[in-house]
Amino acid sequence: MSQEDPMVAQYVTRLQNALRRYSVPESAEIVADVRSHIAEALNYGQPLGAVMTTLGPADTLARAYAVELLMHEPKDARIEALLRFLKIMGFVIAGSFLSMIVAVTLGGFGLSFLLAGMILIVAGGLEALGVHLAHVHTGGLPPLVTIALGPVALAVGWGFCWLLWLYVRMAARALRKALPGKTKA
Amino acid sequence: MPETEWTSQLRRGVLELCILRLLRDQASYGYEIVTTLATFGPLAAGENTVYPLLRRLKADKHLETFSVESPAGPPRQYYRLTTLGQARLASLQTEWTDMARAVERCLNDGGVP
Repeated sequence: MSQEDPMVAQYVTRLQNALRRYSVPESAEIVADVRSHIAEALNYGQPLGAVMTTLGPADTLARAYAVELLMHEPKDARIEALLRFLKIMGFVIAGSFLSMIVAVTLGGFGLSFLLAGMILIVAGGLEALGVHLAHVHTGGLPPLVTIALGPVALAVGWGFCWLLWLYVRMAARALRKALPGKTKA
Repeated sequence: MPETEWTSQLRRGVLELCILRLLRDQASYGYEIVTTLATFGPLAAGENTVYPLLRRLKADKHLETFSVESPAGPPRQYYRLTTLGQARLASLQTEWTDMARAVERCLNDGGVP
């Protein structure tokens, strides 16, 4: 590939920056069109200075693209934008109710079982040592069984917390998917 | 004669029709379209009018593009009419014919029906 003329390279850089500033889509294709135009004009014997003059300032050209592509946005694109907005709103509204129920249920069960597991281990241990805690009833279970039930409750509690974590991740992924994607620089 | 704002606005309005017509029979690339339009005198439009319009027609799915290697350097981006573009051309042609007849009648009769 031959070296690009510095004047052309500078113009292209200015055009790219201006297109980005005006949020013009398909900027790579536009720049390719302009590069091709310059190359064709030079090939037909036009002097570079004249070619650049007829192209006009990079900012003016970028603004012309912005006017054509953004102000004459096709109707179906506007409908698509509205549908995307409604989809996000629907997702947020439905997701909020569901998240409230799921978070309260899984979080509540998870924390309760974790707490119960710790109490069972401590209470069982103290029972085994002959210490009876007031207001703590082990249902007449032998201390060793009480201690053994502790890890089971902890595991169940951890399981609920893990499910809650999975739900949060899934919800975050779904939200990212619903939100409009970032435009390429 | 220097170009007036009126001529510029008029050309802007009919340029879409003319570009669609140019591409009806054969595909063409940006530089060729610009230079062809320049041969029609008042239809000669600057690059900063034609190129953005080509992109918009593509965004509206009236045109589609394909690349062809060019001896001049970067590949040429050829534009050709889509089925939707053909329908748009037919519709604009009808509108233009009606408008041109109406203007001509108005100019000849001076508004007398």
